[in-house]
Amino acid sequence: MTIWAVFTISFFIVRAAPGGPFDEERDPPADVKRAIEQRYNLDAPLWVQYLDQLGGWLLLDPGPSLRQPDHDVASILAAGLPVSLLLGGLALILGTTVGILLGVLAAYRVGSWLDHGVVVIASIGISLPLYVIAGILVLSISFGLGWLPPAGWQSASSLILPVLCLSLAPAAQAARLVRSGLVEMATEEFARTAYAKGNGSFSVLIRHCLRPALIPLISTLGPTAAALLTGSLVIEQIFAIPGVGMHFIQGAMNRDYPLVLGAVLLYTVLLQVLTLLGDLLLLTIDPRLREQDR
Amino acid sequence: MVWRRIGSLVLIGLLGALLTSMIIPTLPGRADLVIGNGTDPGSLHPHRATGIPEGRIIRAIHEGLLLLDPATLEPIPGCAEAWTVSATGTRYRFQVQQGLTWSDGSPLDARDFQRSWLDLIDPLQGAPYGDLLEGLVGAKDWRSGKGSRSDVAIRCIGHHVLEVDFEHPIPWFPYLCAQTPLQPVHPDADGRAGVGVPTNGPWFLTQWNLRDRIRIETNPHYRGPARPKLATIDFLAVESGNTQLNFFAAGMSDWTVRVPTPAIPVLRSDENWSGKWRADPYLGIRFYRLNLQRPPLDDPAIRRALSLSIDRQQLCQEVLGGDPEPAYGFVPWPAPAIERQRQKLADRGITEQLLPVLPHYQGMALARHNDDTISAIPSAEIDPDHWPALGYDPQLARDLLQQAGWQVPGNPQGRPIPRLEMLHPSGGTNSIVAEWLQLSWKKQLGLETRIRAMEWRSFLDVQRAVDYDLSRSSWIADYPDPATFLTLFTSDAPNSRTGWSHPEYDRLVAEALAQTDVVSRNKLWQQAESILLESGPILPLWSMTSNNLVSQQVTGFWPNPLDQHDLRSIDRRSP
Repeated sequence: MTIWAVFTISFFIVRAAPGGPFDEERDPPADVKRAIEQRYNLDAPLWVQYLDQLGGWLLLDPGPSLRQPDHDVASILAAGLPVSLLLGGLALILGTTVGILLGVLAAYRVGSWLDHGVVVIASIGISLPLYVIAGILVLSISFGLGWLPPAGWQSASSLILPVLCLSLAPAAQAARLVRSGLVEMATEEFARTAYAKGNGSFSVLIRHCLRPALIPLISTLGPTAAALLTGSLVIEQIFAIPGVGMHFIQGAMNRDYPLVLGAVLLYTVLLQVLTLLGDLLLLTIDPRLREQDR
Repeated sequence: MVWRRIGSLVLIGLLGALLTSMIIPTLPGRADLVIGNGTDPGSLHPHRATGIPEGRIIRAIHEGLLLLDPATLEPIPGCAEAWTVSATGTRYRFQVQQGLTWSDGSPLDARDFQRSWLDLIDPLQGAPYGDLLEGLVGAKDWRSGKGSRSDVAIRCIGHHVLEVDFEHPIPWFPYLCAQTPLQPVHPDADGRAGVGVPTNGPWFLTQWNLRDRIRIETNPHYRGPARPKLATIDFLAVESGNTQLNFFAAGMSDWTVRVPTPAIPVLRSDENWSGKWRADPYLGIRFYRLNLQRPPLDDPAIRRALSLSIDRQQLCQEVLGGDPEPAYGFVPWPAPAIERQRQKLADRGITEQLLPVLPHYQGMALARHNDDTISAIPSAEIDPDHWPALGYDPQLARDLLQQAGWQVPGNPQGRPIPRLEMLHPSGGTNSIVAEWLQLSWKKQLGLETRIRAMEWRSFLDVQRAVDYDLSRSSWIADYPDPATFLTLFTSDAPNSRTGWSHPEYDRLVAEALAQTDVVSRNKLWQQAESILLESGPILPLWSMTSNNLVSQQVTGFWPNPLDQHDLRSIDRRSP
């Protein structure tokens, strides 16, 4: 139902944009343009085109892209999706792992320089635009040290810089959430009981407080993952990575109607699946939620 | 317990590595030449492609009847080993080479060209460049529904002679035979191109990774005249100019066609770069279209004043990085501008000969004379040293406005000039140029303007509807002849987008098109261009340059005004 609503709204929004897919600085004669539009059924009434597209998507065969007619929309998206998933997935894993580690360190030494350092770095990670971070990394690591390629998609080493850039924001967010969660949990009664039993403060943090402190982080994982996948547009452009994001932007700029709709639908499905996965994960980690269900 | 955890972590890691290696394509080594080709190509079908990045690839994997000499652009034999043109200039006869094949080994002869060209003209096929062959006898009638396919004068005599008849002489037809739309298309292509669709060029397509790269490799069946030197070529699809520059700087590409404008002054002056940076005269003009149907632009005094208060030399030097040359006419790069470009290149130590952009045509320039009159004169009569300031005189601009009854700075009498709107597509140098013009006109004429930036397709929509005051424009030649520029503004032209109509201009253009004698023809073009400059709907700004950043390991790269570089002649030395 949601997907259908998104499809319908997107279809009409995209078609309301001025200009068409075959507009150029040098326009072909009017009758030639009509023939091109006829080939893609763009001369039919809008509702006919709508039903046509809807039918195409139901059969998972939306037809060729308007700008790249040598390729089908389905195959274009199928080629880009694994790339975006790999990039986003690695960034999520790296970002969350590093974020949790930093959060624990900061909470272990609340108020120390370590804690302040983590908070400052986290704020920078969240507020700096991706293209600035990417620029600094390319300049220093690719051209300064010559360790990694500045862009491209031809070996595992070309993954490192984009994943690093993309993982900064989730790392910063995870560090802040875990730190504040742990600090809060450390004052709870169960933590005090654990201290009273003679456990060291680090062991209490890890064994008793970490699990409940992770709950706020996990509840944001679904949306974060979705944001990473959709938000990798800038990174894809800077590092010339052939993911779905560029198809989304370029499709909209080129008025490549079926491609834009395809990208929107793909993102909608991804968002729903990831949110669901996030909820399921929350259910496995927090026994209280399972209790409520009974 | 611990071991089980470690074991599962190792397993996950291995699975991840496997997945990663499946998703990242493995390329069999670096190609012999890597070209940063700009945006991801649209269609690679010769009839459907419209862009320059597409053309670069299509001309490498196809071969037309003729090729262009890489250094002089003179037509030379391709699939045709010889050709003749009749005394009237209307009949061309090509002798197609024997034993030609497609990349799958199947035979190719004159009939493939006949079929491909007829498909190109076919109104139902909707080929954007089908109008290039509209001059053929019977073509226009077929396209307007009055004739049929069999009426078009493209004949095969036997299997190896192709003959065509034109209504009027088309002196640029041999050039067209080398261009993208006139390349032969395999009978089974069915409107598509890609890996597996046979082509007939020295290379064929072996990989098409969307938004990443296209790889071509030597075609073992190729029997053409120019054997390629490079075995593999990659065309990188990279949208961002910055990223293109990064690829080049890291040695991951050998030639790039897109660099960010702010980098150009560095590329020109830095000794590590200046030998690699090529900005050569290119058959393209940047100008503003004016909507003459809207007051106050219907007043010639306003149009003159707008033009006279633009210091084009400053615009080219300070805003555009120094490579383009001021334009005072519509056909770009007249002799004085070429001469100035040659000097600029010589200052950077590049002493190659520059070709005139149009071998036989001397364009016109709208110039201010000593008696404060303004008219179009042949640009060949102008000293290159006077070229930069040829049409800049803000005082004269103010005088003209005052005489026409408009309010100008220092003279509050007269009608105030209504505010004008400048429309441009967002991105590139468009906004900085618009702001510079806005500032100039405010300072020199007290004129208020509003800048309206629009996303590309929306911009085209508004421009086509002639719903603007001034609108940023450019025009790039389809073939090296003044016709490609001067037919743009006839009353029935599909791309005029100004609403301007001038019967005398239309008559001169029609007469020039029908004329066979080169000298008389050029006189007619000059008269037409003068009318366009003196009363037409345009504000020329600068003659464009081709922008190529080429590694010094690359040999056989010749600058030319069409910015077409036949890859057959290009080689790359080992470092």
